[in-house]
Amino acid sequence: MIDFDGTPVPFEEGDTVLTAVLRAGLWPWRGCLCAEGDCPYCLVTLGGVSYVRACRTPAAEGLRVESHPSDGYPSLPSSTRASTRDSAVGFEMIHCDTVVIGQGRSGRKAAAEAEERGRSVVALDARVGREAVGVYAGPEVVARTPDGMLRIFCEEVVVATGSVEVQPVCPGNQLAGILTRRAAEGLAASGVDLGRVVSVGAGPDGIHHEPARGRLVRFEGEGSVQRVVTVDDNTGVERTYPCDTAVIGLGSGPRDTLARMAHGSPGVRSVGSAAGDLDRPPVPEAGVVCPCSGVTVDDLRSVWDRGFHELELIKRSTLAGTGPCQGAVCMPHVRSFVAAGGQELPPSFTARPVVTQITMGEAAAGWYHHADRRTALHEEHLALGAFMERSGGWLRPWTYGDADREYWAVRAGVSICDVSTLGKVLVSGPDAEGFLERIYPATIAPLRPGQAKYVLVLDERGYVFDDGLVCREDASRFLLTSTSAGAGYFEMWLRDCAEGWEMDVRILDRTASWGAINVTGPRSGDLLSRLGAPDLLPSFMGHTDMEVAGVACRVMRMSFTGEISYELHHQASRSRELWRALLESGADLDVWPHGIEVLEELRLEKGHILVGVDSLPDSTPRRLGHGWAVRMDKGDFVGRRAVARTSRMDLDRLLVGLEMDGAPPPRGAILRVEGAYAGFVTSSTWSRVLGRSVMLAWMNARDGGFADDVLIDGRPARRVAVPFYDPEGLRVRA
Amino acid sequence: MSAPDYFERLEATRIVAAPGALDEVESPDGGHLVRLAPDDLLVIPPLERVDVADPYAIIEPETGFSAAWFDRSELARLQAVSTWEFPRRRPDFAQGHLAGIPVKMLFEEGGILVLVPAALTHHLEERLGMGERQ
Repeated sequence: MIDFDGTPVPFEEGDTVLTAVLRAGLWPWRGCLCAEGDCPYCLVTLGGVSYVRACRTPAAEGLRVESHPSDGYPSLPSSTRASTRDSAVGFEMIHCDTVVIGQGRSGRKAAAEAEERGRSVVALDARVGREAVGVYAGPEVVARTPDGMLRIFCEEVVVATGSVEVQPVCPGNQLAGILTRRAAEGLAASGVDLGRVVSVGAGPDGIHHEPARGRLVRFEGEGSVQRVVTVDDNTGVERTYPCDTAVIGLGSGPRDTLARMAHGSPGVRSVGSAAGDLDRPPVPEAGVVCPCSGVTVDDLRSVWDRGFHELELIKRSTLAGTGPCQGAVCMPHVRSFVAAGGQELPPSFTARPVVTQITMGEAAAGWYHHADRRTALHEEHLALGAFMERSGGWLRPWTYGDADREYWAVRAGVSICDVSTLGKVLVSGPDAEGFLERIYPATIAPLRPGQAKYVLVLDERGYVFDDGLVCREDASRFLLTSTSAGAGYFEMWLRDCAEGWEMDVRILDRTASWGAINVTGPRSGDLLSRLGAPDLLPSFMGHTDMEVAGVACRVMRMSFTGEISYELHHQASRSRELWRALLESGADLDVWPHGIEVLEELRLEKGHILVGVDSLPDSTPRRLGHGWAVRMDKGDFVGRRAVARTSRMDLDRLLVGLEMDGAPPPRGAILRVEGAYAGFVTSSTWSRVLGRSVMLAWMNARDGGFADDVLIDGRPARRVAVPFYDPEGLRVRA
Repeated sequence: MSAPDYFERLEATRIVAAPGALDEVESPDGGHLVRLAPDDLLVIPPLERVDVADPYAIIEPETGFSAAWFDRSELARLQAVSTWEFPRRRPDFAQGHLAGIPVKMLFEEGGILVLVPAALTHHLEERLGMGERQ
């Protein structure tokens, strides 16, 4: 037995839910049933999943089926967040030569011919539960099976899905008890008692029926059809045919939705009835045209009278063809309606996946969430209680739980930070120096081996899209760093430039291969001296190769935190060993790691920008207050002409430093001057060492200058010079 | 055992040099030369000493990948999570995505060596249903 709306319904082997329910004498569905998955009438809810077609659902013991409400929509299933992983829909990717969709006569023939040609064939047929739901460029076919979803990659798709029968449009066509011709034949063969049958058009085979003469006018009845009314167009005389079931044989059209998804793509073709022509029905005069969206013939006339005469416009203005049946019922009639108005009919629309309703789980099957990268120190961070956060495509420690401790370890003692995510690219070759001179707006040639320089990266418009360091190793080899988020693009951009300029350089991205740990704080030198050779530590903006705790490192001295800092670049396979050695050797120095929450605070106190956070897509070096990083007295570089042009214009906005008492305003807080909008905050923090809030903000020019005092969220803030902390830079050079 | 429990960080040598110079690099005994690009060569296992006829060659230890060896009986399982069709020739090398993760795959008669960026290893292990890392 199956349970249909609380009624036990017996079934036989091979039955669908539709067949079993109708054989039991129930007829809960209105409209003309097709029994082939085309119409939107036999939709039911199964196990909380709605919009399931009863004609495509095998009856099974204990199956609980609910009909959709006659008005409105089925309710959404209740949501549970638990065990979504366990209930994930299975999926598989398959590669073959030919996919044949539909296993009727034409489909079987196409499959056999392909196999004879030695091609590997995957056959799909909705009637046996292997239902193609989408055809994509490639070609690629997505199908639903009882075991989950299939993505099939192939060279050829043969659409052999047969034809769809034309439905009747007239008053009363939403009554129950109406069947298409093929549906009636199939249901009768399965033992469904159709009672007194009246046929319209071509009559069903194998069923005793009374043919209705004349043109169909309307169906009559209370809830279900009881009379078919036709008219003799020659005499105007109507005739009424009493019945229990009306069977409609008005012709058919190609079931070509899947083929139309391919939109003429090579490798997709239709065969058999799916490639045939539509038996265009008579022009509809009254009644429901699109049952999915409730569009009537009067609605079509209404939009027509308002000037919507093209098929696509009528579809969009009425929503005809956008419901569960995707136009299978209405489009033949809408085309007849448009043609009757004297309009030239365009080819059928490009269809959009999916061809039938699927669940969210089925849509998501085989797709993955974004893969955040982890550094080699990920487990070390977790062991220290870090809260991990996504940043620049990586999972990074946001905090280790005590931001105060992390902060003062940097400002007063020594701290370490995992900066492995920084972009790191090696460039070598006879043209390396000249190449970098063209890449960067800074001068590269004066750099000596062992020296480093901060650089901006500009695009052709002179806008800053990255920043980093250039470290010279020798005459022809350099290490470049970039922001973490920009690393992937930066490397590709370098390659593109080198190839375009035909420069003889070799480029190797080391971001994934090298770990990097920043040792920072006034006692950072003390810690490193315990683990390496103190005499070899580089001076500010210098770098050298040395061993630290037995790990080969490139030690780069620079500072993002405002304190003495040494970045230890090393093979990522040694990261954990180095990290642990630093923590163990610095235990009596109270060494403690800091996360990016505190790093944001530290860098902001120094006024260091974060490209992509403080910069905008149209930020020039001058707008960022970084004009000093551009040398116009050197040769050509990317963005040079744009910088020269924009530098002659008045400065319209500027990234400025602001400070205020009290809590910091959030990023995006609005600056106002005399009540007018004057800009917004890009970064802000409460400075523990300064005892006030500091921030960077975009400020619009006003009367050719920039205001010294602004209001942010109604509180006064002052414009001040950056850096906020250690403006002379004495601490980083100590 | 046909399916590995997890990926392990790979030790190799990476050489970026003029393509002609890379053509002359000899494979280590029992090892692999993996040509990632005309100017980019991965040597497994790492070489003690490398002679490359390019004075500007970048020769670096490579530890940015994790690797796992899959028996050929695992081929169908891997193919089922791949949008591209694996090569049938052996040996062969291909690069693409496996379960949505970028990989490099060395196809040998006995099985497949899968290389994945170390930073994404955990995702691939999870998506291939591999065992928990000890």
